[in-house]
Amino acid sequence: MIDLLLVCGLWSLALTTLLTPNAFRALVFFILLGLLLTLVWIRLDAPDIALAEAALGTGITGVLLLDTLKQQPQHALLCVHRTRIFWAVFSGLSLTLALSWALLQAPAMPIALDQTLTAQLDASGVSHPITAVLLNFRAYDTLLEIGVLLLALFAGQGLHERQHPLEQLSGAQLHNPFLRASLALWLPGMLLLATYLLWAGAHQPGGAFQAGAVLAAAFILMHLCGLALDAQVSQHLLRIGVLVGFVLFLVVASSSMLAGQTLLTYPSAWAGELILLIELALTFSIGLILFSLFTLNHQMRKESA
Amino acid sequence: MSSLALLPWLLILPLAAACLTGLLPLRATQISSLLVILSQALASLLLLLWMPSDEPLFYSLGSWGAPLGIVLRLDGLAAAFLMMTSLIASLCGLYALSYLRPSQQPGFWPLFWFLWAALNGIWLAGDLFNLYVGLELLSLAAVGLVALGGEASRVKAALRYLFAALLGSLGYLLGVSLLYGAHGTLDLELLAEVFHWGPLSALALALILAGLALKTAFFPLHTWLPPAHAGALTPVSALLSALVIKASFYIALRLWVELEMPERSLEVAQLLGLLGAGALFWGGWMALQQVKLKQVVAYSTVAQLGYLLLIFPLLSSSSSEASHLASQGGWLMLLSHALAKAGMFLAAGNLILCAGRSELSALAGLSRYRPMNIFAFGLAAVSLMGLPPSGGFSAKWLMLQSALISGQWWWILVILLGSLLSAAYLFRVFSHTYLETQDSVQFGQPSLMLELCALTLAALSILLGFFAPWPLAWFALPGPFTEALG
Amino acid sequence: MNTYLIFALGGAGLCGIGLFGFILHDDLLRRLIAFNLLGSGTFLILVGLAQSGRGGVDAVPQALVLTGIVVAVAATALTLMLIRRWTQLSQQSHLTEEDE
Repeated sequence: MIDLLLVCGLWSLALTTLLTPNAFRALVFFILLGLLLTLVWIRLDAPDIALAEAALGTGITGVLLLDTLKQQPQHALLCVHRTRIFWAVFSGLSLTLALSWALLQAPAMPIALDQTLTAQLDASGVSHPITAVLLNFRAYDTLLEIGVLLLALFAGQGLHERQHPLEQLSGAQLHNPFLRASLALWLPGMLLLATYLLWAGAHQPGGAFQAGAVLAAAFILMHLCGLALDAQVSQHLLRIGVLVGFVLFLVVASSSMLAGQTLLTYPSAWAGELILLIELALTFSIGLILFSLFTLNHQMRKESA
Repeated sequence: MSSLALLPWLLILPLAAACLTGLLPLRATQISSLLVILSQALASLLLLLWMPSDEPLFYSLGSWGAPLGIVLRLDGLAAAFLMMTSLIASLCGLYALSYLRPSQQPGFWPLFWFLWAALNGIWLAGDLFNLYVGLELLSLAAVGLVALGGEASRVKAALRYLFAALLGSLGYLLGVSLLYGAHGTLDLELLAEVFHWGPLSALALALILAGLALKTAFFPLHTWLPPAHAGALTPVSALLSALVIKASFYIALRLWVELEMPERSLEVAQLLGLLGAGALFWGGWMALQQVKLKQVVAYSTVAQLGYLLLIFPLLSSSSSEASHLASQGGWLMLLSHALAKAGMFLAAGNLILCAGRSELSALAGLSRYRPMNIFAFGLAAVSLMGLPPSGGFSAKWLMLQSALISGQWWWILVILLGSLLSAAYLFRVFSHTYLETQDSVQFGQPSLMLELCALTLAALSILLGFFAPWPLAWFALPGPFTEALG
Repeated sequence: MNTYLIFALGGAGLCGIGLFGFILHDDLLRRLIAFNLLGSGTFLILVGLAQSGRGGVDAVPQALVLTGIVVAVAATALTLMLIRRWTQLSQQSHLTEEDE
């Protein structure tokens, strides 16, 4: 029953997000939808995804979207041609119907990957299966995925000529004494939370991505309050910090080849420690990359002003 | 040192280069890029030479093996495409070194290296989800390269491209989700073993195919391609047209054959062939209408993709000889189009540098004053038209034979008409260069490096016709694809 | 019908709504939101369908979704940067139609 209600909630919020004429309101509904999705993930026994959805899918995405919206010109919306409405409804409905039709006829799965995973979990160096998949069994995916994050940053910086990549950091944005004061309370808590999420990832829900998103939120708050480090220092720090996670991952991944093993094979005695080390560096880098994606947008607005 | 020990470096080095070039100052960036380009070319050449002739190679990342871990597969096809990538990306990289302004280069190199890493990753991938991450890496790098510099027209083309690419990726991912739900594995080898046909698998493959078709810009999902490929900086155009769109096609054709689709869906195959004919005629017709040189070349890509679509119905033939010829001809077509189109885009970039403007009318008089660039453009054009002795000719010849044997004579007609149309729009370009101009017109002179890069690629596309037995032998090496083909 | 399958079907609905929005809107920001909806629907199907087949938690698709979310955030961030740049240059919130 509660599941059906959640699904109806998801659908109506999604439709409202797309159809409400006011863009700001649309974003608010989108963020609400994200919160509802967090609940859905908990119902699906996926607390890790719930954390990631709240922190990244809704948190960081929401901040980025809201931040962009401020800059968009106001305009009339929804004066769409009738044939287009027809095609939109037609394609959406057919996709849903086809998917539902197929989902209801799902056959039995011939390969029991979940059992293989449970059997091999002890050899992975961590006891939380999702961390084991992300950083050991399918670590190659994760390596490339950090590449995708870095790539988004590089591509954003490529939009501006004349500057070396990573040489952009803008100064203070808000001068709000209350915000500044409350930051003193928030910041240690957020750092603590990030550390906890990271540490917990080895044996329970949590891990580098969630921790990195919390770290990014802390950086963004600091940045908004004008607590940026001295510009020169932060440029160098930022430049190295953004890359350190990926580079360390790559180095650990290829070091196994010195011992004649294949890429990404951890020595079994050290697997747990190596994974923690990689996660630590990844958390730091992910935090900085997400933060840079945010400040890069601010930089652009400054240029246009 | 064996092939397997060499294999991971094709992934590690470009990724490391992407980081380095994002960190180092310009001079060091250029030097390190040159070094890594050399090492990549060498590594892929050695890999090809050391390919065992009796069995494909599997490289288990993290030593876990499928289905738990991710396995890379190296068969003759993958090795041939690694080599093709090294060849074309190296020359485009060298071209970019002297073509791009110093202010553009810091933005270019990290994206270039991520693009190369993604391509190598896709050729080698043996895992459905890993292919998704690879495709996203490839698309974002390509979009970033199109938008490089942030000019309005480029940003606009990049946005169009990005939305198409994102939608395509999600279609692919949706299909992968369904396939995982139906089979419980992501590994391609295992999937082919336990694959069973049903509503879920059928819808999954339809979504995957549609997503990849959007990313490859198959007609009628091609509208994002001309502005992106024509509007980008010249070395980027060459990379996109020659390599990036081929990656999604490669995945589609591999899945199609390895999951034994040719027998299952004859109607879909004929429909894909029909779309291919549409691409050939519409792309060719649009190329005839364009007034800008790079637009002509970009629409020619839309048209040439039609030949690749024709492989699908030809593979569905009942005679195994016909489908064998079709696959050989198709892969050779991909290879020769990659070489010829890269050469043609670079030559077109040089011609625009000479003339100072991008319109066709500005080319008047160039055949007399800058014959080397016209020559390079002409060599690439010969291969695109499919005139002997080019690589394009050998590929079309194989496809024609396949169509004859399988009795699908209507595709013969389509191939011939498509070639006529490509001859028409390419000769139209030449006719502009032979027009006489007043003597007062000043032409620029591109540097020797730029001319050599274009000429090398164009010449290779012709030489491919003489040396076609080599790539054809690589394609025929045993591997998952050739085994599935029977 | 179990919880997992219900949410997989919910995901199918979300995919449909996402595709609907993607085709309907010219406005770049809305289109991006529609893309994110489509993504969320896909993730629900991935986990829901797999767990419904397994009859319990399957950590592999859950890990894949974590990867997918990060990739989606990266793609969203890049799109937003391009949208900002485009708006800044053209004062438009959608792509103009005329083709060069």
